[in-house]
Amino acid sequence: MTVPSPEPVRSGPAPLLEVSGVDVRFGGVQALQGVDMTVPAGTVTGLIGPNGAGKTTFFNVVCGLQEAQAGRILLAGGDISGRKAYQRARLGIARTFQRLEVFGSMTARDNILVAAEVHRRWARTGPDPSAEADRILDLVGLKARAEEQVDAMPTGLARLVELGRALATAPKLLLLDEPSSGLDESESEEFGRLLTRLAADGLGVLLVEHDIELVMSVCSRLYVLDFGRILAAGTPAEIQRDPLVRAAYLGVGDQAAEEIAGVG
Amino acid sequence: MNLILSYAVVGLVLGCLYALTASGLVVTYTTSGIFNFAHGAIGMFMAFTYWQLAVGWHLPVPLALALVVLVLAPLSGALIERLIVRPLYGASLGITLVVTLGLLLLLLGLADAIWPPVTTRQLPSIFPGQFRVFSVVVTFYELMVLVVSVAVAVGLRFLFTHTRVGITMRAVVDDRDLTARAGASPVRTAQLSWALGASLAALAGILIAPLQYLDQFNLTLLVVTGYAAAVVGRLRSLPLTVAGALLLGLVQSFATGYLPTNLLSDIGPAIPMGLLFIALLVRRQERLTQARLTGQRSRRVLDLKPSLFLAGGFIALSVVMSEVLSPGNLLTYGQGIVLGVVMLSLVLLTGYGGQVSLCQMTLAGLGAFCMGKIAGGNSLLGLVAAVVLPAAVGGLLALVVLRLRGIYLALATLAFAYSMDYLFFNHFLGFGGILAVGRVAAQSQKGFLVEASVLFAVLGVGVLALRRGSFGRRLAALNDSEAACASIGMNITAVKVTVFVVAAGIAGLGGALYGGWQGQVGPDDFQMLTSLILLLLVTLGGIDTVGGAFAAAIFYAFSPVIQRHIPISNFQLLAVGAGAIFLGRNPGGFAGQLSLVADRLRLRAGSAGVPITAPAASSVDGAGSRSGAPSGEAVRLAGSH
Repeated sequence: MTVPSPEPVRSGPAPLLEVSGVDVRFGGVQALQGVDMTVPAGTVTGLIGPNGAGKTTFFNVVCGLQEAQAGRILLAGGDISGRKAYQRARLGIARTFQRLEVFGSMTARDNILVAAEVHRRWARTGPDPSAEADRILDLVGLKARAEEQVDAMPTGLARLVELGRALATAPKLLLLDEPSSGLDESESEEFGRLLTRLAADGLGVLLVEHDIELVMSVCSRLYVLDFGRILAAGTPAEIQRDPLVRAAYLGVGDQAAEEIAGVG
Repeated sequence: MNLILSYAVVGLVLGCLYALTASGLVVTYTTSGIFNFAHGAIGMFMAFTYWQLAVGWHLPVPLALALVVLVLAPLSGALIERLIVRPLYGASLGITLVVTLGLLLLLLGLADAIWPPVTTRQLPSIFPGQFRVFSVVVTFYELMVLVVSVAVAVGLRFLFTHTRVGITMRAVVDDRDLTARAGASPVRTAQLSWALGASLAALAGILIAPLQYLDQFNLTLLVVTGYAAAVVGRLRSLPLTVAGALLLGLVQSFATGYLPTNLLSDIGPAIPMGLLFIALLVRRQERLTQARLTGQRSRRVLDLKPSLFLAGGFIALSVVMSEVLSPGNLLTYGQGIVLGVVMLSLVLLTGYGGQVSLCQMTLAGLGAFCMGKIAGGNSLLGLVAAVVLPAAVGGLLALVVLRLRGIYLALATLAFAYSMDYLFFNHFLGFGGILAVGRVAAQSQKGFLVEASVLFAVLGVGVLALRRGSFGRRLAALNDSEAACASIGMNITAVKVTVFVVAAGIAGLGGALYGGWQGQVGPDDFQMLTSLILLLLVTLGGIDTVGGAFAAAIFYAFSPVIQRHIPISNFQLLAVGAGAIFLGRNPGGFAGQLSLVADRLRLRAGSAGVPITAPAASSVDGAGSRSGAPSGEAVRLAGSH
């Protein structure tokens, strides 16, 4: 006799990232409350919401820089909730930072090289770090400025250095925190194409971005975070029609609501 | 029973004095964000000034007291903030640390020059006489200390909760920028807090002096006890700080009463450090350090060929020196080189890795100890042990202090150095405090000089090679942003422990060579203060370059020679102190200035060197964030076509 399982049997492999019930409190402030999220491999998933909604806190929880009071984080089916930040990075989670965290005293190339070297050291396999650094410099379009010190670079370029550094760890999941701020319109479009290409190669991308146009064009699924809660989830088209989202954004400012409604 | 009460009274009084000095430290730290290592030195200087007024110039005691505590101390505090501290807002910890340590040395040197320690000075007793409470003798002085401390504590409480100025101070602590936007001036507030801090330091210095003779070093190092109390208060909370100070006073007093004398002389002075260590270790885990924009151009690391060339040149120079220098000058030159080895360890640890250590001389002392104690004092085995044992201790220390960062790491290494002075060096450096240390290989003065020079050159080339390689990149990355290091899968613990171990090994070797060069060592050679001077010297020379260590070593060696030719006493202390203070404006040090000049010459010569354009966003704001500079340049994602 078999007892029927209350949950539907999952078909296929586990999703790349599966977050459930994450709570974070800072003193009396509830920064995240019962957040659930799924990020599949091979796609770009968007996370939008007003400033202070908890997007960066959520990133910190996923990559291990912030402890959560409750909740589980599964990477490719394995529970990583108790792991340290560097261990999660070795399991395949890479990220960029909204407030830049570049190695400012080093050149763009060394930023990427050090990440490739660290990966090679613990993985004991993979391409030669130096060749890998050159390949990634080319990929993110920094070849011509490889030998510049990053502290002296404009913000937009420094963000690309962070992206390159994240890619050099050979990640499975890439968390991008407002990567396009500091880029102009055509550069943003270029950046969007790069993201689509990375996802097509199998990378799972979670994108926090204020540039709604970019979000709508590259994301296959969107989550809306507001006051630490997931307000809505769905395809970009569904999100645009969602009355809750529109109300939330109307509460914040008409312009943002128009942007959401107006795109597409 | 009476005895216990008596010790409790003494402990309470001591605790009140600690509370006074620690409160001043906390007030300045919270409002200006700069930990004032010179806090005790300011108190010391003011206590001497008070002596000058009251005893030297026969001013009435109340007048002298009021003049110092209410006028001179706040004025100097405000002046120090304006001239020395203000350029430091937003600077890296390393720089604020070196500048305030520089102020400490400067005040120490000045006080020593103005009031030569050849005569003993005692402060006039303000309230002579005593009375009895429950048959416990209490002096009026003790009563006065209690009353003053309670008054100060109540006054501070009132200031911070009921006055506009005090509330602004607390607001600055919470959010500097927001306070500025609300119309208050954070800079003015910080200046006020430095004036207040200096007043409290003066009060503590004057009140504690009657317990001992006026002594520059003791009064300055009194603040080390204050550090412990302040850390109990997490450098923020005044009530907790006062509680820590009282606990410390009571523990010390009861230790004096009940520990056997021989044990007491060792453990007594180390008690505050023990508490400091415990208070540091029970702190909750700190966040990983984040990137800050220094606006500083990093220097190119020397390639292998030029570094080999320079190393060869240096050895040749030493060979020539060993022939031409008089025995006396040869001794100083050689001392510079052996200490240069210790300084190399700081270049690696602090310069490249950003881990501030105030205990490198302690590790060097362990090296000298191994060398001198093992197998006759002149064996290769001893030399190996002189590297291995300090390296092991360094690794152990790293594991213990691993979770500490910034100011807390610096304080922990300071506590380690200070405790080792009493627990180890005063005891185990041979009979009568002297340990004979021999040499390996070359025995003659000239031969050993060349041997030490070769070792310095080899280590210098090695440190540079380490910096150029993969480990050096990880070290530089660690210095830039720990959060980013974790995000790329770097095991920060492993890198930190490794660099502590390697640096401690180098320092140990330096200590063994130092012992061999002098022939003998004593506890004075490895005091905490020497570690501080060494760190300041390397920073002056340029802490992120091997050349900086060399420049610092030569300066250290020849400062006694310079001293002989100039009339100012304490030349070394004053020069290092003043130099460190001015470092706040020129963080690169001597080597940095040299390389700037070299770059300019290269540019003028027309060769395409490193461009010396200023960083795009060179301004540093309080939060340390990139100041929102939008990209002015065209960004092309060329590769994604």
